[in-house]
Amino acid sequence: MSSAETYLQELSAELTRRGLDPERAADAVAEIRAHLRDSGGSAEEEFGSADAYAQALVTAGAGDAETTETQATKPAFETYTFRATALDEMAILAELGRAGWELTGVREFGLIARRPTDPAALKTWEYERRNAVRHHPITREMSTAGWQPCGRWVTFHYFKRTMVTAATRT
Amino acid sequence: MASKRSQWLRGVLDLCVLGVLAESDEHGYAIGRRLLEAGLGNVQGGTLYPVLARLADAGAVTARWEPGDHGPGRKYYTLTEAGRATLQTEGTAWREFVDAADRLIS
Repeated sequence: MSSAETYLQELSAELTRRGLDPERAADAVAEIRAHLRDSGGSAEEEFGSADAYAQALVTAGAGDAETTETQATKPAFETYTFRATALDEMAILAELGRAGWELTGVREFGLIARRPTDPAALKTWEYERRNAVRHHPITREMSTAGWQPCGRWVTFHYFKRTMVTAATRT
Repeated sequence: MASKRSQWLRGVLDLCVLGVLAESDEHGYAIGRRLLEAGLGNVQGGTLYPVLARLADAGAVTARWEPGDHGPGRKYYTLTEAGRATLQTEGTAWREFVDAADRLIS
């Protein structure tokens, strides 16, 4: 199999994993195949890793809440529920946090998150998950390092913390 | 300078794509070439196609597959009336913004 086809297979798998509608996923993959045929370039060079590009496509769809609102009625946040399983949710959260998504709740197979529509208000977040039976001791322990609770599913406790980057350091 | 340009482009890429489609329907690869020829630099597929997806979801453009000469074809984008209106109003706001910045810089 050519490296382009390997990439496209991986992209297809990543899009499916993120819960993108199968028809949209197939359409997106076909479009990139057509693009690469015209450009003759390398998929990785033009689109980045299949994983990162799949995330960009999924969150592009989530951005419509922003683009269809008029300036007068623009909400402060766009919200979206990202599909995830216990096995891959922390990796997904790490990427989402870097893209400015703040986790507001957790449910089975879903991460509920919001992101400011005003780019100037964007913050980046990092996430931790702890397995604990009781809420207060783990919350107390995590708060000493600046972690705030942001969701809970069965015995999983989720914590968030804004990331300090060169841009935000004074 | 390339990184500065990509920062500037991030703010206006949507409008530039609408501007390209205002002239004629195009497929993604050709839109990228038009942006390059216009002097905006090489816009990576990884940047351009999510923008096109967002514009389609917002109703600013529609897309259709055109059959190719040999086998699979290409996906062409068309500017909608809503997209044309967005280009008009946001284009005006952009020009005002650029003029203001220009006055400070020159």
